Amino acid sequence: MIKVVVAALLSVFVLTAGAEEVNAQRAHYNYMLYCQGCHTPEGLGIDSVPRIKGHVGNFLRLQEGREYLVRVPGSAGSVLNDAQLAEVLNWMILEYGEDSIPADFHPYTETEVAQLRQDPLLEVEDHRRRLMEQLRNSKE
Amino acid sequence: MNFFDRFFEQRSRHLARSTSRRSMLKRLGGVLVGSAAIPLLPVARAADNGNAKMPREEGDPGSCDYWRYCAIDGFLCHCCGGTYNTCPPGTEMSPITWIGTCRNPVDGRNYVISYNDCCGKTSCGACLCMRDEGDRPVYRADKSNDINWCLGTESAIYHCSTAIVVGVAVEKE
Repeated sequence: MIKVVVAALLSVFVLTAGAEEVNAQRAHYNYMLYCQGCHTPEGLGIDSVPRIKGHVGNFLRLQEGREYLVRVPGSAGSVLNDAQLAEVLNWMILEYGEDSIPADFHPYTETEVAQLRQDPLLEVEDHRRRLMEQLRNSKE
Repeated sequence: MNFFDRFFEQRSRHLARSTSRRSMLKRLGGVLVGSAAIPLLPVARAADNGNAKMPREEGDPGSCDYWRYCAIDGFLCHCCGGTYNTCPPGTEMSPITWIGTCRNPVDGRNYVISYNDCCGKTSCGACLCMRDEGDRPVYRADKSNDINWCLGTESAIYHCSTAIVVGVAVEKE
């Protein structure tokens, strides 16, 4: 009996310790504090601020696009730690991705984010333009 | 005529039989006390609050000490023909904004405040407030209030600042 209880407790611990767990309230708070100022409350963007809503999931169709979302300055240079950043990214994708989320989407993990943000983008606009072209071509 | 006389006599007698002379006072008193008591019920107060996220507040929104202004750097729209939530006529609210948190002394909770600037007219010049709590140097651009946040608006000319509550802070564990 004790073994069963211990096993159950362990599995709960392992599940909740996973980086891909999204605490929506905390993620939304971090989005408000560190993203919303420019990306706007609905993720619509404006002028040079890209739109997230209904679009962000498109990047996940390519590995390079998946990396892009972590390597952009707002993500990579953020004061959020790796676990918090992974959580906010996953929350943004689920909250704003809508139909753009690919069927095989798997959430970012803390370790993945930690590794990717070591290589921040300096020429964001050029990189983005190339990436969008690749995404368009991959669609056809 | 006889019919009218009889009818009103019957009604008056019926009224006199079925009510006491003081019932009018009793009912009027009930209405007065009742209407005064309804706002005290929790249901009425909850309805009054409207949005549950909106904090109860006290203080003078025309003063720099007002709780929402803990990180402000600029002229209060409240003194310029607008309010802490709205821009004065003839200006446009910037959709791009700098965001911080302030503690509401009434309930002791921290709220997320969006300092949307109002743009399109020359500086208002009234109620200059610089409390700057949590302000960071411009290399932390998203947490710096020294840059002009009139971005995404038709005009980049700064007029005054609002302080809009956009959410409740999640306390760190």
